[in-house]
Amino acid sequence: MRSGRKFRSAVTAAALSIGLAACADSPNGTDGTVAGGSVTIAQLPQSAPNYIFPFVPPGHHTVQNVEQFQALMYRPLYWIGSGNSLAVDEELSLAELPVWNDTHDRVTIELKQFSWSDGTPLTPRNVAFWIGLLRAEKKNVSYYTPGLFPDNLADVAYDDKANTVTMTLTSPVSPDWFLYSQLSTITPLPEAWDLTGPGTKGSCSSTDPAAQAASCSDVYKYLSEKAKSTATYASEPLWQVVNGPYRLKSFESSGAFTLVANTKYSGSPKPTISELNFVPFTSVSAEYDALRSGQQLTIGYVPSNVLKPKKAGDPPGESPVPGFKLAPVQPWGFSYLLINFNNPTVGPVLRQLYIRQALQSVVNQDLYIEKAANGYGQPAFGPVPVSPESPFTRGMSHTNPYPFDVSRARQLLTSHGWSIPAEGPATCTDPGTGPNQCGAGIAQGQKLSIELESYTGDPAVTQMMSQLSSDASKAGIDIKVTSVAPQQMVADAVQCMPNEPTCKWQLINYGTWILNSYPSGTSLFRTGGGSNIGSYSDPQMDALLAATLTSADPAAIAKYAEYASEQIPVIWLPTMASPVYAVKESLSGVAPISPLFNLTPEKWTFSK
Amino acid sequence: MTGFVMRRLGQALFVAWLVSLVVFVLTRSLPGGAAKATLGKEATAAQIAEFNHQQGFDRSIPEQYWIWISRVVQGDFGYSYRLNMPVSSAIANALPKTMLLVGLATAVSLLVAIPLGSVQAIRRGKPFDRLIGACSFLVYATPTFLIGLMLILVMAVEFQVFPSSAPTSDSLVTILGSPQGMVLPVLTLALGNIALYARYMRSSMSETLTSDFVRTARAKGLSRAQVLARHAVPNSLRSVVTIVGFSIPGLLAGSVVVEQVFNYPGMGMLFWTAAQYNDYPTQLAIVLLVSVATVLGSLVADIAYRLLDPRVSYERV
Repeated sequence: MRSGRKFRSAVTAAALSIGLAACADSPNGTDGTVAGGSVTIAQLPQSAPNYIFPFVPPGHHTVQNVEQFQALMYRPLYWIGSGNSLAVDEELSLAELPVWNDTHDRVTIELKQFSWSDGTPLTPRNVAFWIGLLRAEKKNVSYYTPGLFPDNLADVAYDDKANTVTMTLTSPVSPDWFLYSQLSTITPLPEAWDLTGPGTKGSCSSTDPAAQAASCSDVYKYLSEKAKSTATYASEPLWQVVNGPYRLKSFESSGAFTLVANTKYSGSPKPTISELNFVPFTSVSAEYDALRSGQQLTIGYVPSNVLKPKKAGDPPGESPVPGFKLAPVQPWGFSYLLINFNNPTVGPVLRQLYIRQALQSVVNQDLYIEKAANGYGQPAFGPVPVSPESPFTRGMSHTNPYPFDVSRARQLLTSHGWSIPAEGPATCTDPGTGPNQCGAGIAQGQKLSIELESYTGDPAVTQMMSQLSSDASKAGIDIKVTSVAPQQMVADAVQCMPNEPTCKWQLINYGTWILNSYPSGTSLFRTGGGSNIGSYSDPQMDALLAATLTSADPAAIAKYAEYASEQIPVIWLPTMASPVYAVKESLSGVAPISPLFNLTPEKWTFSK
Repeated sequence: MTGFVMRRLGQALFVAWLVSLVVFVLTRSLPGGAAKATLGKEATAAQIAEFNHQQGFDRSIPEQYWIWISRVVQGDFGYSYRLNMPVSSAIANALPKTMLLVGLATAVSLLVAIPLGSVQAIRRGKPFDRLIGACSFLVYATPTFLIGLMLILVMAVEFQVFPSSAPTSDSLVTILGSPQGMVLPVLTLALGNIALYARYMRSSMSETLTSDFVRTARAKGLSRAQVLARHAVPNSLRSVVTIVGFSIPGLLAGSVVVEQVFNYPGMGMLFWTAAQYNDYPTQLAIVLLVSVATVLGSLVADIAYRLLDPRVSYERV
């Protein structure tokens, strides 16, 4: 299952404003809320949506396309994450929670009574449409992982009378994994889209697999060509068939777009905000200037360097812009340094657990959060964030096994055959594979000197890496930091074998990995995993990861996360809150914003 | 003259081709490639391979170039996967906005700089000349982004006279319908140009005022205003025309700094983000356009030069 998203594309805010002007003419609620009105939302730089078809190819699966654009018009089968919760939001979902058989290889999904804006009801055929497209065009969708959905589907049965879809799988699975990682990717598609050309009906929404196989590729081709024409997004009748609380009113190639309330929305709650204006910005400073200059932004964002410092874990402080309240988003993910376990020079060193423990012990997460983000961040010491609570962290330890402790780092080295001089890097003086020796592949006299490649463009990151290098040097670990352009950094981070020229990298600051709602690290840490760039390999980790996909044990994720936290397959860094929204005080229901960056404007209201 | 123009047009095509070839090869040699930049760092090897295959990036560079140039001569600049639109559409959206901004800034610059430089030349050495000269140096030495930020701080944030952002619509009609939004970005670009053009005008005018034909015109009894308007100013414009001619490529390339500061995405931002994300088709198309514009810009300057000074001849001897 694809597990990352383009992180920086999270926020969208609208700059043009009709703002509160419309509120004056709208009837007032008796609870102090005002019906109607419009909200202007600022988008993050270079983060405008550009893909409307909710069958998203790789490269277009971004927060600004999916969670903050498509999902407002085309509801996914299951809505994951709302406010501070990472659980399924049953109210916003299109189906009841799935019902499993005892062996967890058959699941029945009952659809709710929902309808599309063209008057047609939500039926199992809408789900069949999605599955048909997925089977026909697997390589053109971002969600697909070979061997997983739909490859693991043995059979699908559609019951129009009962309004159910029953999936029989090829083998038992973890119900949590299947719901949060597979079923949540399904977006039922309207039959109005089942076309192979203008006015030419297809059969991709048929419940007959043979009919689907004959038609789905042509339907995909037609719809994906339509999706390439951004200039027609608002005028194309197909895209106006929605089942979400909003529909598209206007869309410009600059990224500015307007959504208006779908008056035929059959879900709940019904939207009270009648219009959402999203406006793009070219830079954070341009947006912040707009916020400060009184341009009518209802939701903007504030750069962290202008925030009043606070303690990590404390509630958000006062907004630097009067009339707004802060709503920081703590992403559902973790920041980390990639380790190249196959580097010919330091690979053997980094393969030693005590070395990784020493490295982790010189990461002063609290200081980084305080100085680099003014307190808006949280420590990370494993692959699953401890906050907010999720259905998968039950029973998981919330304690950092390797808190910042330079003397502990020194002790780890000296107790394993390293000698730490007054200045300079530690040296291996007792090579060998004994419990108190340096470890396999580490020669006598090898210096503990590691190259760390970080990226330019973010002063907070530069500050952190500099601090890390300084603290590490006190423990005898010489970390040489070089900063390169982000594209260079991404290009250098490739999976490699020791004899390959691409294997020169040692540590890379890879930024933040945004998790899916189901935080299984299969692609990251499984031997040969698609995103296991560092070539980490551990049979016990593989077994724990497999259990996260197949076991019904509700603690499967917690067990894997705790093992990863102890084994340090990557060096954990704190995750900073980003973005830090600024929400107009008269608008309620916005905060807290989901760590999955979902927007739920149907829950927003203006107060008098 | 016709021959001269045809020769220069031929040169423009050759230069454009050469530039496109060099840039094509250089961009393909940059680290990273388009796949990871577009798909993100989470992209798997299989996704990267599929993307490269679909975009044709797994072919040899000569083959890729041949395919690209064959399409360009038919007017097809390719498709930007990152923007999800044809490159020609992306340019068609950005170019008018850039031309509006840079065109307005150039027009304002010339309207102010020519009279200003002329008056400086007439009053050369006097306090007015010294004051304007000092201000010009100061403005010219100040980075454009700093001028922009200062204007925003004072005029938008502090006194809220003008908005801090330019209009973001794709439609020029909508943009022109909110002229107050264009004041600060135009002013930011124009100030630096005014300083530059005024200096050139002053220098050129100072030389012209001491020339024989101006003395002759005075001796013939023409008024001071007539001497300036009919003889001094037109003959002093040659250097300004040359500078303006070389700034024509800016009409297409835009100013990424001003566009970013004032939230006005034009050609500058389009190219910058294309470079950030290794969006090869967009990068190449813009490079091609700007290289053609550069050569044509100098051609326009030469033609204007000829019109201003009939003594100039471009015919081969």
